[in-house]
Amino acid sequence: MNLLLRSIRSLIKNRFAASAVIVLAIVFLVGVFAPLLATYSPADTAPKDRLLAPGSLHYFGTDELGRDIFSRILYGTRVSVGIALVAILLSALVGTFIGSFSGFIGRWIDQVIMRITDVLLAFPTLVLALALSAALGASIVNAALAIAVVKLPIYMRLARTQALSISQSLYVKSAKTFGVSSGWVVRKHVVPNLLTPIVVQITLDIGDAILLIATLGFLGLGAQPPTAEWGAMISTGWNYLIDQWWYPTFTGAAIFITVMAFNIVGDGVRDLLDPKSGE
Amino acid sequence: MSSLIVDIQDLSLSFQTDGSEVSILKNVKLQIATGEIVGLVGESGSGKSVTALAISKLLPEEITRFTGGSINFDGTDILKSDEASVAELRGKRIGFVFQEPMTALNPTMTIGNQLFHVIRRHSTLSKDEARARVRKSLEEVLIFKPEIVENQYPFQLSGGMRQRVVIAMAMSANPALLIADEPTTALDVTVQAEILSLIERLAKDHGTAVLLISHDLGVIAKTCSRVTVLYAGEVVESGNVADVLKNPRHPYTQALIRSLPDIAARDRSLETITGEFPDLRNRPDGCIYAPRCPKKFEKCSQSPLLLGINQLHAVACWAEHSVGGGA
Amino acid sequence: MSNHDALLRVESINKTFITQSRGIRNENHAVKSLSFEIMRGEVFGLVGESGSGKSTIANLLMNLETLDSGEIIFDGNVIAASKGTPKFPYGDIQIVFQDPKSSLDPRMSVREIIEEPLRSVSIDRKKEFGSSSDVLKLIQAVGLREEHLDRKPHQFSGGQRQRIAIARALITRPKLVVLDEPTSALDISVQAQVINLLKAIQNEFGLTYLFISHNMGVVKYLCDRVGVLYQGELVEVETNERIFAAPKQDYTKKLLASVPNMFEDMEK
Repeated sequence: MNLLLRSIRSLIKNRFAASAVIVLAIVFLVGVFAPLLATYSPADTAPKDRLLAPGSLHYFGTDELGRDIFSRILYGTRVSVGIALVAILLSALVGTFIGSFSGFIGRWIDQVIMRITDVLLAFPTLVLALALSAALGASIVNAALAIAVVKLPIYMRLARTQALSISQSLYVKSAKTFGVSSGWVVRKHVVPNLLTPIVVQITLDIGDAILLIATLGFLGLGAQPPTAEWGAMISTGWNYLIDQWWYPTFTGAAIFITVMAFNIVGDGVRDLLDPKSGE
Repeated sequence: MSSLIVDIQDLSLSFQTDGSEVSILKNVKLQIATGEIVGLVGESGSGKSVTALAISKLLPEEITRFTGGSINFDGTDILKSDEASVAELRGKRIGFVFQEPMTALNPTMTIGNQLFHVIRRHSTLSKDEARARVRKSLEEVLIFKPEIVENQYPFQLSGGMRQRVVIAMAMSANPALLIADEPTTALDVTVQAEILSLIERLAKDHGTAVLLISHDLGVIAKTCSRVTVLYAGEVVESGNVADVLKNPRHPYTQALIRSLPDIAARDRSLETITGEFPDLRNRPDGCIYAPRCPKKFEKCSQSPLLLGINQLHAVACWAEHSVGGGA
Repeated sequence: MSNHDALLRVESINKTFITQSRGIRNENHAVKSLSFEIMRGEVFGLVGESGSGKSTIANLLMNLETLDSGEIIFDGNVIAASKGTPKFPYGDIQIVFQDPKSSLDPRMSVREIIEEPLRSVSIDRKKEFGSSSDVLKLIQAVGLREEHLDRKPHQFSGGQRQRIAIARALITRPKLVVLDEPTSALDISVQAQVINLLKAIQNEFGLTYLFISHNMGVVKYLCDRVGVLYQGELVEVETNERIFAAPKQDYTKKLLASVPNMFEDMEK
């Protein structure tokens, strides 16, 4: 309750972050209510209405198959943001589990796990994501998996460092003098104190994941036609940039605004969850 | 008192955070003469470190607002000087020793090299002369095997040895003022005794003025000739150490000394200070200590002035002045 | 006092830490055949500088480290030994650490913090002392109020946090409380309040204290007997009166002489 009040207060103070939160809320609502808001079906082709300029019938114009770009962007929200969320949450869950385990147990298990993260971190994110989704086969599910794997070492490292410092803290030492079980220590002390930096990392990573999905889609490795996905839409749309500017531009703007909003909110969440902020 | 090195008059300053303004210091007065060791005592939040940092303008510029008074360092009006000329004073004319020696040392450089760089920066000595000076400075802080210590890294030294090295660095440019902020708080008592006598001896030999900040009245009594007591950013009492600590006149100083367990009778409770520390976001009018003071009377709703009881002892308390001088 | 009046008996305990860095084996004999006993109702002080083995002794007593040899007998039972698996009487011995900023979990409420030690005591004891009225009584005994129970540690000052840590140590009604530099991180005026509190609850709860400190003033005021540690060995154990008036060992003399005392050092 206290935290909620504090959140609201500090977000109001930071109008920039507040407007980003509003943008994100709109993005989520658009994703959820896409079928109600869309003026056309995203997959309906109309060959005679191809590449129409924006107007009262088609707000953002139509594409080379006569599909309504506005409706496709709305449906695309579900795919791009949804898959990004799933990929990052999956990555965070698995990474936190392995990382805190590694930090706790220590010894050779820790060594092995940390060398694996070293290997994963040695590749540039995009290259690794490309290689993985190419190897797994081009599909939206495989793209999500690839992103989850690429982000995994970040969460493993973060969780490991945190678990290590928490397990050496004086409050865990105190708990040990009470004779409580390790399960209790993990549940009551390690997890709650570990969660904050993980949540911050998640919010910061979602924007990045959306971009990765779009990039994979752009390169034909993500969502397959006719699925409305932002990256894939830009991939075909950019051929028409000179004569039908609206085709890639509105889609690009959707990506830009969403990613930007996630990044700003991520920064805000980081400030907010810092236990030293506030009184 | 003709050779004043530091002369702080009615210094007031505040910190601005999140749109609210916190008054940190109010009308602080502090003077230090050549070769003199002056103590600054107070509990957390009293503003003792802020006062020290203000002398060399080391406070975070974005949040600090000087609201009144002046700081004069050896003829320079610090608050009116630009950053470049104050930066020139730091290290060269003002040396610093802090509680944690590791914060002042570079962990990746040998002791000899660090001292060498500091000496070269603040002097016109040639490389060979500077090398010789490194040796001499280490000898001066009673490091008996300088030729070994020179080639060691900070982590290879004990806490006491590190603090000696920091003192050697601070003194290398022969500063007019040494600011020592809790220099022995992190050290063992036997090491503390050595470091304190080292500071005393260096101050005497070089005629350096020392501002010694401590929460430990024992340290102040042992080392300083004069002391200033701060409470919530205001000077409540100042004077000769013997006068102030043996015959404290301000109710806060009195309570502070009485709350020490050192000479208390074991079968009685220690005296404590009741009430709470004031909220400095809204510094109360009148005497800052009045809400916790057992001697409070009507007059205390006005701010008391720091007035002398005698030439060597001043106190900011209406009770003292109405009895003694009829203010 | 006869031997069976002792609540705690530490019998020639040893502890060596072995560390390996860059292939160099490093042995640190932290505690060397150390023996002492603490009588019921007594305040026993342990003084010494860094490296004297103070914190190792505290860790051994709290079952956070294992002994190399010797044994620790508490209330007639062996609670720590190099052989076998003695049962540790959780709840009967509690500790208060120096730094109340880090000894309280920042994510827990004061109520959760105070109730945590009850996790591993018997059901009967939990029933007896775990009721909310008992928690309330305890928080008031350490000078805090009911509404403080739902707050988080960061909303309190250092002195208040140490009060919370003391309340947490008392919830299981321990017989022995180890006080590991409990006032070193506090301001002088706050230190006086916490010392008064420690004295008051000692009588109220019938406690025995092991008081570990480097602050001679506090030790002199609080302790009945004092043991002086130097490099893992107990060089001198004496009553309060004797150790401060007539220290026998050279190290004790040096230690006491090093403490700057404002009541003696003002000849200037």
